[in-house]
Amino acid sequence: MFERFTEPARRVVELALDESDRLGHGYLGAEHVLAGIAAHGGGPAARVLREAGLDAPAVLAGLDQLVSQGVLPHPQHGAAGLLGSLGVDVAAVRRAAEENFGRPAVDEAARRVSRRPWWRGRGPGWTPLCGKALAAKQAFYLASVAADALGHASVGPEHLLLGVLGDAEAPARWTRRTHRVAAQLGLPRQPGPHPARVLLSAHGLTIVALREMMLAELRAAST
Amino acid sequence: MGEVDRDEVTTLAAATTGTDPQAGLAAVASLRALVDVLESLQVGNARASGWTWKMIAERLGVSKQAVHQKYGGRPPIRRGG
Repeated sequence: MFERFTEPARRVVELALDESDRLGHGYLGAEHVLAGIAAHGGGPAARVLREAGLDAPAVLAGLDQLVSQGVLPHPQHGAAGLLGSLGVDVAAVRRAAEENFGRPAVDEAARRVSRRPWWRGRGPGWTPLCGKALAAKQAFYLASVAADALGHASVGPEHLLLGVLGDAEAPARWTRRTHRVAAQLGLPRQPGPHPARVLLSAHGLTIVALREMMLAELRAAST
Repeated sequence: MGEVDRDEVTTLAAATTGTDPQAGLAAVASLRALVDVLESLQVGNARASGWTWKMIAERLGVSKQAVHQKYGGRPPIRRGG
């Protein structure tokens, strides 16, 4: 999925993961990606956000407020913490497994086990070796769709912003697996209002307006 | 691991060995999922080294049909990286 991402876009994803860590979330959501774009600060996407009044501190404060409003979950005990309470060090287990079998094999095993179908004895949906659940997948997909529509070969932070806006406009439907993983991670059982949409409306912005600003910025850059 | 993290783990340990079912059950479910991944890796490795389903099943203490149903039909996970 990340093959098409430019170097800045990969950096944005790293910063988004940091933000998810800071909030104590076990998943990576579109709202974390938005914070990642703002924190990265470079390129047209961050410029558009700054013009709209969403610089990095504003987004962080906004997300903290969403947590206190209950739109975003409070910090949770991650799997690492829970297993630590049983005396199991997940990081050490992963290190040992990677030493023996190599990283790709461990990732593949975690993927296969988490998605094991019912006729093989249904898998758990998510395992502690899977890393953060990728709730922003739809946003990443829409980012690459936006890049295609603009005729761009690679996906940069500006496309990620368009992807986040697209996800906020029409959030991905929850599948049965999404419900299971949400329950496992201790998240709400039903999808709530999209956090990015709530954050934007708290700043008096609409999705359509911000998308127009982003597209205008890209048009201005290309001419 | 930082000071804060250690505190958190200690609190969680108290919660899990204590009476909080929420943390205790979640911890056990995580552990089971973790064991599942390790089993998958070991079975893949054993198959790649030419072990039969019967030999694998004996070591795992389950029937050969059980292990074949769970892991058969797909190429074993290869050692890589």
